[in-house]
Amino acid sequence: MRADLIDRLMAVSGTLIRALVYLMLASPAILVVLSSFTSSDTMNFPPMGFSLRWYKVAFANELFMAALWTSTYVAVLVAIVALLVGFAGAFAMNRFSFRGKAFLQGLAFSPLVVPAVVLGIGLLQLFAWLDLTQTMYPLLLGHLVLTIPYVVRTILASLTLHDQQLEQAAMNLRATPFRVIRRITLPLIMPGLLSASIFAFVTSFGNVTVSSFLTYGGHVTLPVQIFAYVDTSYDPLVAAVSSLMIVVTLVVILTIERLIGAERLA
Amino acid sequence: MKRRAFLRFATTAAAGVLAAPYVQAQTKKFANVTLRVNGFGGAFDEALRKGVAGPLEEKYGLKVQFTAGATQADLVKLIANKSSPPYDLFMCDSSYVVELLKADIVEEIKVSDVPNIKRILPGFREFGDYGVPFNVSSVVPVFNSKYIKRPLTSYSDIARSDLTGRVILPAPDQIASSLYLLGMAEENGGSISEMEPAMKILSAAKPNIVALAQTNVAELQMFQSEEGYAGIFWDGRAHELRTKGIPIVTVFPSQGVYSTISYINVVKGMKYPEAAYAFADQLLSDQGMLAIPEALRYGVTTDVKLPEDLRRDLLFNSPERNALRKQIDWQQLWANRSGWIERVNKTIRN
Repeated sequence: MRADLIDRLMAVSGTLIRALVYLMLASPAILVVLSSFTSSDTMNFPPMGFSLRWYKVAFANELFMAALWTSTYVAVLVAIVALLVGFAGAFAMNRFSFRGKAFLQGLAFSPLVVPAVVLGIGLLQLFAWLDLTQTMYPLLLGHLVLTIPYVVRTILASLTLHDQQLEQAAMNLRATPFRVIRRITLPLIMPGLLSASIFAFVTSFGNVTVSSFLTYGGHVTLPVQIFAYVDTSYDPLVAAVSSLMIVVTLVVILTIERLIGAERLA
Repeated sequence: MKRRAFLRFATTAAAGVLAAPYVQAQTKKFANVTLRVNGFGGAFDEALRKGVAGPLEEKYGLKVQFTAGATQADLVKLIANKSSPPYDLFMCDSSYVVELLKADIVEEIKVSDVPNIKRILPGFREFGDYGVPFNVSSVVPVFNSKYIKRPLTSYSDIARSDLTGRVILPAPDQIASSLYLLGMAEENGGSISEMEPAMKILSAAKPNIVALAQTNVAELQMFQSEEGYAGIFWDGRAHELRTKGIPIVTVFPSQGVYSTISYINVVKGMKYPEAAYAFADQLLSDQGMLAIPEALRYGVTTDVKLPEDLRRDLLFNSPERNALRKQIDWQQLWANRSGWIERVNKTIRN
């Protein structure tokens, strides 16, 4: 009887704590989205009235729309390249013993310990030396460096956890190594690959610090554009544009969830 | 039509046709030229587009591309890319001009190149022939008149005992912080090389300080949500609060006001100096000069005649007030700044 009561209390408090944590995590985004529907000229919460006027302004604003496009295609490209590089690196680390393996592992995770400002300035100096600063490459590479630790970590975990005997069985049946990777390894770690791609997309899409050093030829990413905007103006347009950013991120995540199912991502 | 009349008419028509492209080229002097300028973002860039870039495109066919970003990052980009600069014109505040000059990446701009330079107010061009000043932003004491009935009159007033737990200040690493510290020092017998009086005031103000805002937006929000009733803020942002219905009063300290000036600088090695001078001249024209004050209520740097509504709102609206704008040794301020930041952190956080 007493044990039942304690169990029930634990369950209720667990649910409450979980709800509180989820609320804390989601509340900034919820506040921004709700504020974006205000009909007034001032950004405040709770919003006054209901209107889509700030979305109309956002869609009509060429600077924000161009920046949204830049951010989206850079993030998509980064996610693709990060997957290719990250898979190759994680596969080598997981399957082979070689000299310098510990160094490679350290290198793959080093962007996490190097401050983003230092990384941005370092990459800027490098690309200035190569005379490539007015191209897209610095931004791509900068974001790639930022995303690699997350991608390698996620894929490495998937490779470690999946059953290698299936690969060995395929090889026993005379499948070539390339075929084993294509037909056995990749399908089995697909949830990990897709989680990694989400990490890469989100990390690239929301980055400000490194991007502000590596924007090129008038192309600015959306977070940099928003950051510069709020320094001189503070109106609900920022909330509307930020909500669009949230929507794009959610669309990417939901598309992947639709493709493979959320339970496989967990 | 007689033969002579016909010949006269035909000659005139032919001359007109032949001259048309030349005339067109004259009116569109900078057609196919695009100037790349780093932007401050938001309403600031928008105002410059309307008041400067738009008229230039109409008049000369000159296009101006503003790229929004953080000035510090843009400065690093410019210094790192000396051989192929990413900008033709660089827009920045006084403190950054010191860095531009150190890096030797900007050209002098003479009055012979930009005639409107002669309209600049005395003392508003701080770096000799370098940079064209076009906007003044001042850091001033402010208070919410709904709650504070005894007006603040100086920077040092933030230490007043009736303001306990009500004061918001910019964080020490912001340039605004250096300016009000200098104000507090000079109001109390100190100077840029003797900041002890400022630190004493800050120490006395410690129980009053409710927050050190890391960004302008954060400070704006705090005043908007009435987390604090008094503090130090940019004059333009205080005006923005008033437009949102918050009764924030801007104070003009009688001993002087500390400001930073925005400059446009011509980057060394840029391809179109004449177009850059046309940009600077338009910026200093009446139309260009009033663009920023009309949008954001920051001050002017020339003898432009202020419309009545602007004259009422702007801090520097008369020769007497202009004379109270404090001259700042930016080089020394830049050199001393990190020490001040450390002292403020120690004073406030201990």
